[in-house]
Amino acid sequence: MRTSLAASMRLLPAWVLFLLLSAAGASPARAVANAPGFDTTFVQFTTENAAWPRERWEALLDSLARAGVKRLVVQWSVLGDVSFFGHPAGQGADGNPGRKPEHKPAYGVLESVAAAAEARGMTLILGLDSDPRWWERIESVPESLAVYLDTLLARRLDTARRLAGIFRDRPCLEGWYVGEELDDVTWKSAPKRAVLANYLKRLRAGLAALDPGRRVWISCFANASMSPQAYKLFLGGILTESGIDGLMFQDGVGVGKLKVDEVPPYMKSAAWASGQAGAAFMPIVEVFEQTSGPPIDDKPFEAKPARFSRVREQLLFAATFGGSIAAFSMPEYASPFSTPDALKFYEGYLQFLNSFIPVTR
Amino acid sequence: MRPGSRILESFLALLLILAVDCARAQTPAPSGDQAGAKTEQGWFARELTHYRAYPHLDMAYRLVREGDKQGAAKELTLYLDLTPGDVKARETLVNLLRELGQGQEALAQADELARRAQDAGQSWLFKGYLAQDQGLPDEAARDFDLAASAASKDSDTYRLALENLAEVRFRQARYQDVLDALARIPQGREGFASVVKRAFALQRLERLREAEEAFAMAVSLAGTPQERVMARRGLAELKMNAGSLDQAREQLLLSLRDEPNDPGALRALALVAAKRRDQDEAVDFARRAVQLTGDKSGQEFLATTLVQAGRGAEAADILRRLADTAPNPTDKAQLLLRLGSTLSGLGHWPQAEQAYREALSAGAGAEAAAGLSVSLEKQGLDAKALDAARSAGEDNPSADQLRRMAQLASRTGATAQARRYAMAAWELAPSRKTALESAVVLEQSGAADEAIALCRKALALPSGQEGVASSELLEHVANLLARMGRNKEASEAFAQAYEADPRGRSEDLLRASRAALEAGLPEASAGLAERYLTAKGPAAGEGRYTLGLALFQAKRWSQALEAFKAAQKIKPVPQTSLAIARCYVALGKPGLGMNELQALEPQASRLTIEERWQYFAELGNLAATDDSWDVAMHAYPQALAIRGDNSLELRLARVERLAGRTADAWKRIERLLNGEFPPGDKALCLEEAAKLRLAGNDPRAAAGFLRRAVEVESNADRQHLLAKVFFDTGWYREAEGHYRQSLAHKEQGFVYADLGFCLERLGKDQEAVQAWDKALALDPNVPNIQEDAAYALKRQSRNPEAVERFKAVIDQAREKSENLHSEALKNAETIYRLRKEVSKMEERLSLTGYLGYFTAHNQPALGTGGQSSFFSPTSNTVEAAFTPPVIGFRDERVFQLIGRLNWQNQPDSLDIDAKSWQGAVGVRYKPLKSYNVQVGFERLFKIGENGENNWLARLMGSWANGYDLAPFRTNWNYTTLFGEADRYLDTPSRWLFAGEVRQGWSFKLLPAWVLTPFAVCDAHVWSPDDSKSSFVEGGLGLSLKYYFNQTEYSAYRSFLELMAQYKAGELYNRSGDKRPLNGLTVSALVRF
Repeated sequence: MRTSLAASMRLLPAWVLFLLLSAAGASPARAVANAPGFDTTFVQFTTENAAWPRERWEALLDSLARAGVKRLVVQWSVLGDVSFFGHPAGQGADGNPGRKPEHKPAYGVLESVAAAAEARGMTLILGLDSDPRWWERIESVPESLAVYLDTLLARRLDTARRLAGIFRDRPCLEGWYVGEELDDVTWKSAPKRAVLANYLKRLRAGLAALDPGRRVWISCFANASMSPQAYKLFLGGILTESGIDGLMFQDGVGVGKLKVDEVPPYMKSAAWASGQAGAAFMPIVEVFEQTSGPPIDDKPFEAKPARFSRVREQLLFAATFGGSIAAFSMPEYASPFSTPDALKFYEGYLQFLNSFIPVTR
Repeated sequence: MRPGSRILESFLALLLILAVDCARAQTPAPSGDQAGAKTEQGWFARELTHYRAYPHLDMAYRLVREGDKQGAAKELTLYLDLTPGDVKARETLVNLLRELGQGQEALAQADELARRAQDAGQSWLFKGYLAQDQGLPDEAARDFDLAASAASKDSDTYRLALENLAEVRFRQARYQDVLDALARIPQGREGFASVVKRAFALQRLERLREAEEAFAMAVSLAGTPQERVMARRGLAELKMNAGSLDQAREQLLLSLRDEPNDPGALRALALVAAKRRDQDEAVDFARRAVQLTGDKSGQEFLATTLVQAGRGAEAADILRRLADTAPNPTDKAQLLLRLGSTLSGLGHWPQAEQAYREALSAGAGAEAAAGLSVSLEKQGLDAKALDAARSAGEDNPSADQLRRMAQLASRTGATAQARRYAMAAWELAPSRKTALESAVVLEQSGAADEAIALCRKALALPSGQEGVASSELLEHVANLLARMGRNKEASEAFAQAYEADPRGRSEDLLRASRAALEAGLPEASAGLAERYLTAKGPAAGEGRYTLGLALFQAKRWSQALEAFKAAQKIKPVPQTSLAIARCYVALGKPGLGMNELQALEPQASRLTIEERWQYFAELGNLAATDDSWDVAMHAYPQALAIRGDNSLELRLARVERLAGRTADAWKRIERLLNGEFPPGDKALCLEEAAKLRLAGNDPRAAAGFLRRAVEVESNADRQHLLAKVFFDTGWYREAEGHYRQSLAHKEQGFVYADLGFCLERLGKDQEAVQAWDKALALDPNVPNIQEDAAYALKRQSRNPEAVERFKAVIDQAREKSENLHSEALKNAETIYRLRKEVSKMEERLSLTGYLGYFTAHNQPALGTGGQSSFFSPTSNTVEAAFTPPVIGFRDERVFQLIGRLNWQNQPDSLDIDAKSWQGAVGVRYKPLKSYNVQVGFERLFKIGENGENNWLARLMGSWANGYDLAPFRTNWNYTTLFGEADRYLDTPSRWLFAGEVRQGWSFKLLPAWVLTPFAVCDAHVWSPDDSKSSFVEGGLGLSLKYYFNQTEYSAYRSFLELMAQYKAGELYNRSGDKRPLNGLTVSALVRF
């Protein structure tokens, strides 16, 4: 009870801020409060941005730093067969991929970005392998799923081992990110949940053995398939069983999984589950709006920067949890290095931040 | 009368005559007859006439005082005959004649009066009075007008004429004419009567402010209490009509001060009090009025007041008393009618019936019959009520009576009559109102179509005095259609009703929307609801809710959700929460649906019973799919407490099972097994029973339930479950059938995998592999089957395919984690095992070389060579074994072609004994799959001098534990057993029996290096032992083995073994120093 009360008291200023700002609407007056902003953003490597010159990444990171970003979550270091680290000579001047011994294309972008981040005092949470067929694979029955996850585990740990070698003794590496994005549809059945928990436990143990002392994060989102109560128990169980000590909740507003007013019960559940399991919690705010791709249509996924008024609502609610907030993701949708809309969003966001007069303590 | 007084009167009359005469003498000379008479008569004559006339005048006044108007008129006539110029007396006569109703005579006297008085005004005035008396108001008005015109404006006649003109016009309700007449009276000459009349006229003309001023003026002008009372009551009436009840009351109370016993004022006060809803005061005033007068009308007024005060019983007593004492049947009938009405108001229908019946007996007509009909109807005596209504209508019923009769007939089931009456009512008075009322009866009589047609027909009629608008008729039509279930038409009619009169009829749009919804036209319904919201405004919660329902039915879930949320914001009701929850479920967000439903529970009592049932059932279902067993186990029983439902109880049982309360679940299912279900749920019930029996370790019973379940409804999962139950109980054939039926419903990888296992158990390896291949095609991650397929192929001797499978499994296994030690070891062992399988199947040619060195002088086959020395420690051998394709390796049964060359070294030397060369070719076969027993047949051929030509039949067997490399262990047990029986068929024919046992412990020095110290014991027994080579020996040895020649997919194929043994033994068929067989043997064995 005392803990709960203490936690409530700790969150009180955030709630007061939320209420004040919600009531204030689009008031031009500057609020005397610390800005509820993103101190973290996801970064997704693609074969396109992996070929950017180093200067462009540095400029991007400068712009992110101006927006208050202090932490990058690298969504993946390996996507399918493409590795974004480990190019023998780092990132080639011409940006062409080198060949690894296993004949997979490899880039040196991660090393470049890590160096740039390090130079700006930013930290990294590194994603491992991402299987583009993850969502298809996890449809399997539990027995098949276990086989698939065994295979994935091996790949993940192999990648982690190689990354650990690169980042050994570098404080910029804050932790690991397991990009499975746990949802509340796939893992509704108890047998599959058991398979998942077992896999994550082994992965967590493997990472701990490879690189002790660094936090392991996992992300989740909700389709509102489980009730908030059941979702809370599901996440709590997974965290407790696996030992994973960081949970990110992706609000799903950008892809239409939840509407803004549907997010609170699930985000609260995720936060509660983290607290119960002794894990850190970080909300992820989607700053985009999906424009094509399933379930809208059968085209490939496309999105554009969201209306800032919508993101403002998301951000204000996320701020009530009183910790870091991650954006998904600023480089594409809120930066000067993407589309004109992204630049507009970025400028709007800076304006929003400037509308606060920081409270000095 | 006393004589004295009579004398006095005569004296006084004489004085009066003298005085009158003197007065006449002073007046100017009259004109006409009067003047003539004066001139004609002298004093005496006048005095004489006076003396003669006066007694008539005196008598006339005396008779007036006594009330004998006729006599008075006669006396006055006599008087005027004598004294025709007495204007005053003639005026009196005119008045008397008016009062006596002798109009014509009065008129003649009035004319005479006018002539004699030389005042036409007076004459017209009196003529006006007379016309008024004769009920000729227009003539009276004309005469009064003429009187006014003729009279001097400052005369009383002028004022009186106008006042009377005003009175006449007032009675004619020509109030403006009243005002016009009174306006002609000069300012300042207006008297109370004029002013009060003007006030009343203004009041009637609704010029209330002016009327009020006039009444106030009348009050101030009132010269008598009666006049004040009149003015105040007028003012009070004005105030009462204006709603200023307190002021009205005040005026009336003031009037009571002037006339404390004025029953009219008291009644007016009673009325005011009733309007002020002070019924007690009303009754009090009415009672005081009755106490003052005690008249019948007062009592009736009191009765009315009592009824209004809700004291109907008291009123009924009064009316009963009045009726009983009524002076005539007509009054009695009226009073009984009122009594009946009062009793009806009290709901005392039998007493009312009695009163009406008495009224009828007293001669009351249709009204009493109608009242009787109502009182009978209220007692549920519709048939009698109908009879009464009929009698009320008699032969010529009114439309109203017909409508009522129609209603009663309808209720008594006389539908044909009812329709007839209804239509008759319509035909008698074809109006929209009649149409509406008849339509109701027609509908009740089962003629809704006719009702609709009637209403539609009535649309062509004007709205009429009743003001039944087209929209009202259309709405009625719409309601009829809706009640008939013709919702599409109803929707259209409601919309038409709205369009006919959009003002204030927006609710019709809402009704149209709902009807469209009922008609299954959600898009139309949504459109109408949106129109309703446009008309009514966005804050119309009902409209939002209906829009939500329409959008929900149109499967526009998201928009429906927004509509319901908006409705909920406007007016939160539990039904909307329920709808919101359903939207979430439809949108694939059951979690939020459940959240909504859980939040709704405190308000569930506000739902209707049916809605509550649905609420708890839906909450239970959502909780069940949410794995929230506690919530489900709370919700389902709540629904079941409202209304039992086998399907719902079945779901509760399922939840109980999943929550581990299998005993409760089984009790419930046992009850349900014989219950009524829809087919799907019947099968579910049987399946649930099966699952509970499985949980109770009773697979046979479970199989029985499942068999029945699939008979009711077969589906892939149920067939699969049944197949698994059969499989687990060892009934593979049954299992196979059900696996196949499951696949017929739906092809699923894991089911094919299970079918493969089943086929494997049935020995149908080929089909099993096919099944597994299908499984892998559907789901490449189905566990284990690739390996099982490989082994199945191996069993079928489809070695190349088996090898490919093993290689694939090896690849998969290699992908598994190598970072978790326990898993890595297990995984590596698996891979090694699989590689060994590959090795076995890929082996075609093997070469084995043996080179030995023995330190003992005695040799088992000393001096010999050839085959016999093959078993000697100093023997050296090179053997090639060829495993032919197809027939060579067949599921661990191995057939080989062999060729062998063996020779012997010189004792204590590595020099070859050239005489010892021996050759052999032959075949070898391992017939058993699981035991290493081999038979061989060889042709021995002689190469060296000591060689031999012979046929050799061999039987060999071995068993080993730890002989091979255990790559993932550091040390392990080492035990080998070997035995052989050989028969040399040609001369010299003989037997050889050989056996060896080793027991040691292996140590892995390096990944491919193994050191094994061991103890050994062996024996060779020849029979006959012509060369005395049989021996038995035992000792210790040390083996160093190096493995090599492995590939990615195959385990070590080759090894080099260096072995040193020191054994002590003897050639036991020998004697002397030839007997011992002690020594060190050093050998090298290469297998490649």
